Amino acid sequence: MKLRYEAFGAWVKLDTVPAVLALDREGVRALGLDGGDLWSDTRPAAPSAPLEVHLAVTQRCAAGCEGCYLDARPDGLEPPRAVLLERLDALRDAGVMTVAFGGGEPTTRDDLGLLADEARKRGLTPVLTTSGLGLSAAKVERLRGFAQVNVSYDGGAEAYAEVRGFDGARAAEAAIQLLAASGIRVGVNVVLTRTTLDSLPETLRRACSLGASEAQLLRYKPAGRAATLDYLARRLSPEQAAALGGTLRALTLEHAPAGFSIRVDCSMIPYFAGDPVLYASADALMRAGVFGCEGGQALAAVKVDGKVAPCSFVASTGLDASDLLLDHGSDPDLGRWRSFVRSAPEPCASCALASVCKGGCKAVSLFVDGVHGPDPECPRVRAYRATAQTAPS
Amino acid sequence: MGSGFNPLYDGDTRPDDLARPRRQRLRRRVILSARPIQCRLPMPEPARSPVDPRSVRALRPGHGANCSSIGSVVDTLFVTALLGGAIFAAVVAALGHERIEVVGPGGTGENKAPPERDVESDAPKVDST
Repeated sequence: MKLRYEAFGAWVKLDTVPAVLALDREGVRALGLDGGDLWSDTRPAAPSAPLEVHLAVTQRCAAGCEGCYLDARPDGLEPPRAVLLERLDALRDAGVMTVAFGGGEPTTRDDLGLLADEARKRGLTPVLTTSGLGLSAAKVERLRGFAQVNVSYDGGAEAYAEVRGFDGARAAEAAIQLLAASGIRVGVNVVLTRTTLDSLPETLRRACSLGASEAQLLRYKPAGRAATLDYLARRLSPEQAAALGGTLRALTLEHAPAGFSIRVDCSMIPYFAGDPVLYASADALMRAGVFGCEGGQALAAVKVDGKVAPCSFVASTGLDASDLLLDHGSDPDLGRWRSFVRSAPEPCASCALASVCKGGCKAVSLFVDGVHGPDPECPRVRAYRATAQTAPS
Repeated sequence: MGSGFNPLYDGDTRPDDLARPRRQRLRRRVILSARPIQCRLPMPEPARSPVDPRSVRALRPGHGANCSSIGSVVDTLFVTALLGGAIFAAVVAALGHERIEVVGPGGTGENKAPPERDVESDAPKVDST
């Protein structure tokens, strides 16, 4: 297991069970360890380094998805291997536990397998996201170093085309099957839009039947080529957002018995405010390790130019990946993300889920409201604003 | 009610830190990263006792495999009795036998500890051994 000391105890990533856990100080002491000065120092501890970093290994991609958050192109930037190895060094030194390789299309790199091996040598758990387009048996062999590979799969032909602008469903399905048949743990990334949400149950059944063991549900975000007015028509409707808790409950009950797991991304936690049961379950969410917006904290992205961003969907800070160890806690841009969490305005300040949600998706608030503020698509924020508009002045 | 602050990170922020001069922050951080090495000696393997499941304050199942957003498994929220219990049991068992490698600043695991930065020159120190 990998253990990283924290003020509360330690983060632990297990080797034999795919899980990360927060262990309190007593738990760490039971392992025969002690946090030393980090625990005895009465001053507040420095902000920790990220637990998970999204590493863009290329900006090249020929798919041309309409909503690509990176605006990847066939002639995009591609860092040399030596540069990426230095970035992996920096992640190791900072105590990062998981590195998610992305792009662009990472499988266009011939050295992708080698990079996964190098991540492992550094004690990092490498995972990968791919479109699956052009994934051959030979390429799959190079992916064995990854703990898990997720294939972008938004559903059958229509749903896939709705999100990406072309029908790549059959290629994605072939990739899922190929990976599963090769014994590689495979999941699917499903982007939810107003149109594709209805077909989600069928999409998950299909993915499960193809051999996927997990689905990661992703909110459609206004970044890269998706940062257009079209976003407003594609995002989930207020009714869909408010009902998402019930949708997840039904999908989980259907798939959990078969061992098919469902994940939601950080930006979907605000929707939980629309579900009375989940809204009253902040402690359970915390205990289940559910993360809302972790930009500036447990999550960071390293873009192709080596600059660190709070997440993949927002602009980079001035911080270079090589300075992650020393300056993650003091970078002023990342500090602004952390300070928002500590002093969020209403209605987040009085929200029962604030400690988990952390104000929702800032990529959305920056695009829709033009400010780093509460998520405007959160059911609670919508209600708060509606009330404010109708209140007598 | 919501404070906008995750209890996992209680005591994990240093609001006054940004006000300190950069050099002072760096010096303090270097000191903090160096000091624990004296008291964190995980090798040979330290004696363990069973971890009380209540010490597991949060459990995030799965590897996560998305390159853009941080994902959280929600299964355990809806089917906690059986699934959650099984995962918890597996985790506590793993804590009892897996080899420990301390990572991050002050880490003394198999991977070498991160290079300490020379505060005065702001350049990485190179281990000459």
